[in-house]
Amino acid sequence: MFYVANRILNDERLAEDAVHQAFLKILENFDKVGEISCHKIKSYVVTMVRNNAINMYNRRKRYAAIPLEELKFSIAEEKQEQTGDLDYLAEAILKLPVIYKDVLTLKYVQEFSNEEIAKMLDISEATVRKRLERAKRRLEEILEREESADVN
Amino acid sequence: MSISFTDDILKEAVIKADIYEIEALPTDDEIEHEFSNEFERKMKKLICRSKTRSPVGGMAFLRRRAVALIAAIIILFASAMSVSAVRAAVFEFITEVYEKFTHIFFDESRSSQDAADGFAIYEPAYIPEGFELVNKKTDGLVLLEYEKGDEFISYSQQRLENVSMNINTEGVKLEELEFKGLPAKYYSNQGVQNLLWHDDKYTYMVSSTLDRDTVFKIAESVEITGTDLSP
Repeated sequence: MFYVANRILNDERLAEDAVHQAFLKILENFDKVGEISCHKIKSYVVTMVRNNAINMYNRRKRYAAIPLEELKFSIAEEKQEQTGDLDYLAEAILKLPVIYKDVLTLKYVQEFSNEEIAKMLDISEATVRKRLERAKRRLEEILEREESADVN
Repeated sequence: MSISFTDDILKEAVIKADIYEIEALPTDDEIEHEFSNEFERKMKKLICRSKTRSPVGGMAFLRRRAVALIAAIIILFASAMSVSAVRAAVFEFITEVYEKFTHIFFDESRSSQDAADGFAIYEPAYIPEGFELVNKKTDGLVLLEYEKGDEFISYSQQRLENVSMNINTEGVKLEELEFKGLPAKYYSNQGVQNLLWHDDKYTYMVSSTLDRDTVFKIAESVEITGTDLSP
């Protein structure tokens, strides 16, 4: 968890705070979290830690080198063997800025409603909807770019 | 050209990407970071808070989920707090009883090699008839959940190092006993019976809505079933 936060913040003290705050938020959402199956817990905790780190990053954005909308976080190496469209799409998801990837994860992996996601990420439902839409648009752009590169 | 995908395909791909990312996270051994005392204090306080909360509604489903969540958080927290490769071979239960919860941690009494020799997987051979396995995790820790209607059985096994847990023992008696010749603790709270014991490597816990005798019978049947050699 610390690693996840520190990758974004690049500041050990702030990364510790991000981890602590994420667990605080998990506790606040205890009734919702209690419904997540065990094997999804780790993914959920990572998402929450990452989101807290992003919020901290955002608060310091006037000093940040990368705008929030472009902030990337990918630790998964690209797969050498892609066996189909699903793999290409998964690879593209890994290339999305974190604010889009996190709403996708909460929506499709944890299966939360837009209202629940909004509460967890401290954003409005409209912002959740907007991020989901933009995530899909960005994915299409990434796939189009890669297809063009393959053709060339 | 326009590239499109259905919601179902997107869902599958998001799940796949999520698995890639979780699998790519470095292990604790690869992260060299010593947590500040302030962080450790805050996290312990947080776990204390989480343990003193009662599950909503008192339904067996939520009780089971709460047990699973707390187990997962403790496991994650234990991982986060792991800062040394050298661990102790002999641990002793240290119990601090507070007004609303009991804090249990392990005292290291002599050092030994680290846990690089794999994770021996122990599972209960006996589960009462009619219970269905609904969740199973066996990589780096063991977490098994069984359900039968409103009843549940939860079994967990994790490494001892840096394990620290708080259990909600408000108004209940924490019984200290010997189980299979090993130090153990038993308590019953909010309709859930819990047995916790440890050897020199792992701590084991059986929690269930079933009666004490059945919990002990399940715990008695715990045996080695394999080894996870992944780092």
